[in-house]
Amino acid sequence: MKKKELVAMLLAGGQGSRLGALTRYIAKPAVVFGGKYRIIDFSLSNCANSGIDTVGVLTQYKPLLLNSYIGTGTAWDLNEPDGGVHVLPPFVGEDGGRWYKGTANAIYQNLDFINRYEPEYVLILSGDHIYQMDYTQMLATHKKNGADVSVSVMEVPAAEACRFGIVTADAEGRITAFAEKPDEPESNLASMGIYIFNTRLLQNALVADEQDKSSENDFGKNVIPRLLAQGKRLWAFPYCGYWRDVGTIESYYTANMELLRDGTIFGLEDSDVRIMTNSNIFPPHYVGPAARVRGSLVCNGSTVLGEVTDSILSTEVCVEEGATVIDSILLPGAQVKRGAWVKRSVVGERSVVESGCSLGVPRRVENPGADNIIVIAEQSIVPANSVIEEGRKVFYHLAV
Amino acid sequence: MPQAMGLITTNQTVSLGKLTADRPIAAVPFAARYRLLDFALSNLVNSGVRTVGLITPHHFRPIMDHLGAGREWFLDRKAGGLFILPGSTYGMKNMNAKFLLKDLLKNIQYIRHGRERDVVVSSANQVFNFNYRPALEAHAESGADLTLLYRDEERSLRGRRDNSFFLRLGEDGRVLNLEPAAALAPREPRRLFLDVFIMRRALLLNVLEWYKTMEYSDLQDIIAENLNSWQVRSVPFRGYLKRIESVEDYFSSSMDCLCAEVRQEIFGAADRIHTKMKDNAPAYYGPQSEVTNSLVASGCRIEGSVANSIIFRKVRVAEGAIVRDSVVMQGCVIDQDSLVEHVVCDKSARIMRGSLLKGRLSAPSVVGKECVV
Repeated sequence: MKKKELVAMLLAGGQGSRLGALTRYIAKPAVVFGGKYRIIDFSLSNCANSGIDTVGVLTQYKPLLLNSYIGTGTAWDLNEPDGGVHVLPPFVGEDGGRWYKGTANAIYQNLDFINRYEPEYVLILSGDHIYQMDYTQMLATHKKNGADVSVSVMEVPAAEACRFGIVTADAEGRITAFAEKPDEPESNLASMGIYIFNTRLLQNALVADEQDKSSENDFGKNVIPRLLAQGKRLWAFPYCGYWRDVGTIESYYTANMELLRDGTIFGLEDSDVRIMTNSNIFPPHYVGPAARVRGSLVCNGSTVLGEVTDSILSTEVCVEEGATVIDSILLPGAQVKRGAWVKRSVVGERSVVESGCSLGVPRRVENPGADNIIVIAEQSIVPANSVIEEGRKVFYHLAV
Repeated sequence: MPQAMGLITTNQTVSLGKLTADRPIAAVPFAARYRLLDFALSNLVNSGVRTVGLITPHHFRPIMDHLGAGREWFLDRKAGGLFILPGSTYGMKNMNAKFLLKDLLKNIQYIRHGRERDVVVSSANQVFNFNYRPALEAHAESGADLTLLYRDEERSLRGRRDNSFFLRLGEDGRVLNLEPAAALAPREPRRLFLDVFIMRRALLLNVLEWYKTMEYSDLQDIIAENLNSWQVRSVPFRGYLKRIESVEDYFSSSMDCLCAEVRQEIFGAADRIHTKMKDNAPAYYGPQSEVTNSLVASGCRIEGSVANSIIFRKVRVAEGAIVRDSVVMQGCVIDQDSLVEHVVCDKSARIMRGSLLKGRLSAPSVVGKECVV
């Protein structure tokens, strides 16, 4: 086995329970984003575009789709002779087996995989963020700083800081404090869940973490604070591009809609740093004689015969004549039948909104605090002429 | 092991004017994201063929660029795979053969090394989605030497078919004659030979041996001469088929893709037409866009108006631009306030601001590759 300078470990086992109906059958990294991508495409493409050729993908929650989607990594040019993509599910050994208890434990259980390549550095990534980043710059900075650990950080609005792991750093960028989801944040630098570790240090830290029975085996909650307390050299790597955590329905919806602002999102159409994806080959989409499509993204294999405004239509979607789709996301294979009206909704993969339905009609009773995005779960049917008010959190779930 | 190996000939002189100035007919882009070759190749692969030889013409660069190692057609494999075979007449004026013997003789090793029972031979200038499996089964069951695929032509569709052959069938389905349209009686059924046939590999090797001194013959003519000595049967195809031999054929077939039934037949069937992947972003429609009855590929940015057209990948239609009844290939830019009607724009053409470009439905204008108008 050739020695590698760096091996990436991509954490893709999370359930993403806050995405509700969208992750009923699939893991969060497998959820479709931006029409033709799945969330994990962004991290995998970043690896490929950064020249990283060895990636371990840790899967656990409902991995069927994710595992088959990743395959040998060919879709991301990651089918490398020495390295490539390795799907790493939990496994059993002579002492029995265990599920991945937390992010740190998942890496701990796969130290053998890392050791196979004897890398100097390990890059830890999350499979559920939307961003584009050249990890080589982070590695160069890591080396320059002589750091033990580098944590990629970005500024977030002070009001949102309590949702993230918050980093406090000195003028040079050395981290002095780290607090996971603090009630009273000391700064507005949020950890993006991207770490570079010196391998030896990582191994020791994970072994120590495993021995600590009170630990939740989480990088943000346990490993990073412990290393700081030990006086290790932790440095912040500032990032200022586009980065979104799409962990909730609201943030998922908002990040999708941001793509429509001017039809471009960072490199989605820049061929040098393209986001690669493992899609089937579909014919180009067809826009019918009475159709109207405006301010929208439309993917291959779709048929638009009705009106679509400010929406994202994924692959193999069908909007029938007389149907109206506004401010919505139609996931692969979704159908909106004749005369249906759909607003501010996410329609799940292969779900059907039957004719005459009205989704997202204005609320009659003000219901402050409730989100007003309707989510139709995967493979569901919304019966004909249903009326669903906005603000009613409906997860239709009738298996086809 | 699959029953048959495949052989596609792309070394055929069919001119579409500017559209084939730099590329063979097989590499002409079609239906917003495909090339004509995709149909011949996908039909073979969808029929279970996993060894495909492709005889290339002298300007083979676009074909190689498109195929790569054949991954999108599942041909990057250990057993079988894609074999690029050099054509024989590089730099020479071709004699308009479809299955030139010299091309086959030069690549006889490929056919010899096969272990399959049969060879499916196909041209590469037709739009159709046809699974050969039933034909292969019928061929093997009947014990025929050769099985020719054909399609009943409606009289109204006859058109010009100079270079096409037609089948005359006996009572038992045997092929009695294979000849040009001129030889047919006025009321006789038109059974167009699909330029696709299944032949026992051993027989093909014998034919190549027997006729090796007549290397400029066309295998099609040799078949026609030997119908009495061989067991030649036929299998009909009933779906959509368009043979592309002129810009008019190309244009009308492109426009056929706007018809739901045709789209369903060629792209909506269980058997997919495979093509090169590019991973472009989804197509973006601007807030003022007006698009109707059109086929649009990924990576486009449409801010103007488009009607009854085929829009390939990464095309930009600026605000105020109008595209009607046209085919706009990959990477073209239609600038503000220009009008394009009954036009085929080859790849990366740029129609500058305020231009007016009109062809006729019967004779669409062609804007050459990378031209600036």
